[in-house]
Amino acid sequence: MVAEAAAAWVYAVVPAGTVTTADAPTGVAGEPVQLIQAAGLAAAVGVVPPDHASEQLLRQRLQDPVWLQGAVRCHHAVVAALFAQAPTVPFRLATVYLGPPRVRRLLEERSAALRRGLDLVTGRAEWGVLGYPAASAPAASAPAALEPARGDARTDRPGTSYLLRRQCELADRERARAAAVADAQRVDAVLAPVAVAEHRPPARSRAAPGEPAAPLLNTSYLVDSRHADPFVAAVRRLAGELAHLRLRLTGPMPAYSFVDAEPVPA
Amino acid sequence: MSELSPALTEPVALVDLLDRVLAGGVMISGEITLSIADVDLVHLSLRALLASTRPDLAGRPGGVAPR
Repeated sequence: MVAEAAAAWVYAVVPAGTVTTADAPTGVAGEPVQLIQAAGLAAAVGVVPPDHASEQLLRQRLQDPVWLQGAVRCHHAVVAALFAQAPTVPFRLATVYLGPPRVRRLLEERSAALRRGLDLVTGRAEWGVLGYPAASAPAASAPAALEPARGDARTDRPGTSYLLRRQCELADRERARAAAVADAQRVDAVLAPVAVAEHRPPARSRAAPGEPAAPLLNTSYLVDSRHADPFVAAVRRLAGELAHLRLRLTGPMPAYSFVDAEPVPA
Repeated sequence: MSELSPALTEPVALVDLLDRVLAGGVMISGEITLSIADVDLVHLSLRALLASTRPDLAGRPGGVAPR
């Protein structure tokens, strides 16, 4: 019975002796988060009921948006609480091992790789920069360009007039998009030199709910804490200057995007 | 064009956590119960949920309310 109940949900790995979980939020199953230490590392884990460790049940849960939303928030809350105290290598959601002893073995077997991950994120944080096409891009050229021809077109060839107007609208939209893309390139040119590394998730062609549009720019930057202020200042300056791109900045966050999914042993 | 909220320390919005928590992070396999193949499915169901619970996103951190 004990063995069956002892599934270990891993939130993150930190250097041993650097954090306390006393004030940490509870985990995805409402369980207290505890530390498993080995090889100079500490894994923050929650012992979760077997139904969180069954592949079949977990797949079912993942299709339950209410459960999933809670799990994403809980998982991140625990990782963020650690990140506030020490360098933190976050683990992916639903990384579950068959009991605390397996986690201890994992720390021992992968200690070199996990330590490399810690080295990479120490003193650094992830910042997310998203850029959306500005909503009210000026599109004044169409009426002006059409004005001289309007008399003829309206009386003789209304169809032609419509097509011309439509063409101009499309051209304006294309120009606005090109300008927004140019703005996005400028953002990256300014920010990349301030960051240690950058990561771009696969482009999304559609907006996520709550977003005004699909982002033209979606980049995570890994930034040294001593460069955080200049980084944020640069984003603010860009946000004030760019005419065609609306920026959104998120951070500082644990470096989810900069640790290897499966760090290889040394 | 943009305004950036100074409130960078607010909780990260769910939409910003999706790609990171579901597709980032370490996932040393061997005794794992979830595979990356599930991630697309996860995104779909979560976005469907978000569409009906937008208030969750209203307090997005460090961001500009889209208009």
